[in-house]
Amino acid sequence: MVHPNVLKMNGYDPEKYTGFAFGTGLDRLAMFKYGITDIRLLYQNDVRFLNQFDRMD
Amino acid sequence: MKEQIEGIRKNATEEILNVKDAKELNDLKVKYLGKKGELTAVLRGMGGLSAEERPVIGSLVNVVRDELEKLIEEKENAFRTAEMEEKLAKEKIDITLPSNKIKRGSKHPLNRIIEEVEDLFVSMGYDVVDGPELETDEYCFERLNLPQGHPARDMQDSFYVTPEYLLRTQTSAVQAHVMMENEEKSPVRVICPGKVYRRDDDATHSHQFAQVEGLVIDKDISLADLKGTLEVFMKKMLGEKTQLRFRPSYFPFTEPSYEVDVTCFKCQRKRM
Repeated sequence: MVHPNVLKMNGYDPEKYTGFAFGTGLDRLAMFKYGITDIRLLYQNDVRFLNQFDRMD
Repeated sequence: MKEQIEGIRKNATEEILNVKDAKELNDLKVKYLGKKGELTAVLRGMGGLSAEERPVIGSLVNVVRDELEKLIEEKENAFRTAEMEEKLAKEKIDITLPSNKIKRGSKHPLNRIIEEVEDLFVSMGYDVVDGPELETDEYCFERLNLPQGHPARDMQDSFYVTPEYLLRTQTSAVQAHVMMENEEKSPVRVICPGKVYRRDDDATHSHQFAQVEGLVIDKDISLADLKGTLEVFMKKMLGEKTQLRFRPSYFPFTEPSYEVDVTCFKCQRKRM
């Protein structure tokens, strides 16, 4: 849940509003979903790697 | 003179009929019909003829000229046709040959994920927002309850560009922008996917990676809303059998805070 200090500091009244915030690593999600074992593959742009996603649509 | 013309007629006809190629034919054309050709020479020599003979010879020359021209033209056409046929036979195109494969680009796996996440949250009424990657200390930390000197700043190994500016370590920085820029301070429902930067580099940590941040502010938002939202999120992304576990944790910008574990999408038992 968003910390009342954060709400207050950014102009929201914590007595009136509450909120939640979440964050997820998208790389992790991609790794899990496609079974990728090394995160660096996502950033090396090796065509041999990228070609494997050619027919997925 | 008449005999001379008949002689030309006979020789020319014979030669033209026996000609072997277009060049030879052209030579013959010059030889008989050209400016200095044999037939033309006869016409020039007509000055010495009598008035009675002149029209007779003249018309004979013309008849022969027409005849030869016609013959030459026929031959020329024959050569042209032959040439065309030869060309056609030689340059045959095999339309059954497989063509060269055109290589298509494809979407990067990370972009696929981002698009999937965006579609999902847009369908739940969220806006997709964007923020700067070069962030101020104020927005990246201070407005998120991490004042200078706060020990939790050590959790983030940041790339500072100047003492004030850094590459954002988390998309959470966008939260502060969204709240500050909302002048009516009305309810908020946004996600912010984007690149973030930390001083990490190994097989599972990259110095640049992608996060998606979600922020919802409204009256009566509770932990149940967060749980429900994350459950839908993970089930859509990793499969309906996915289970979540909330583990109490600490983040300076949330209270209470949780880390969420997700069952392994392959075996459904091990935790990720």
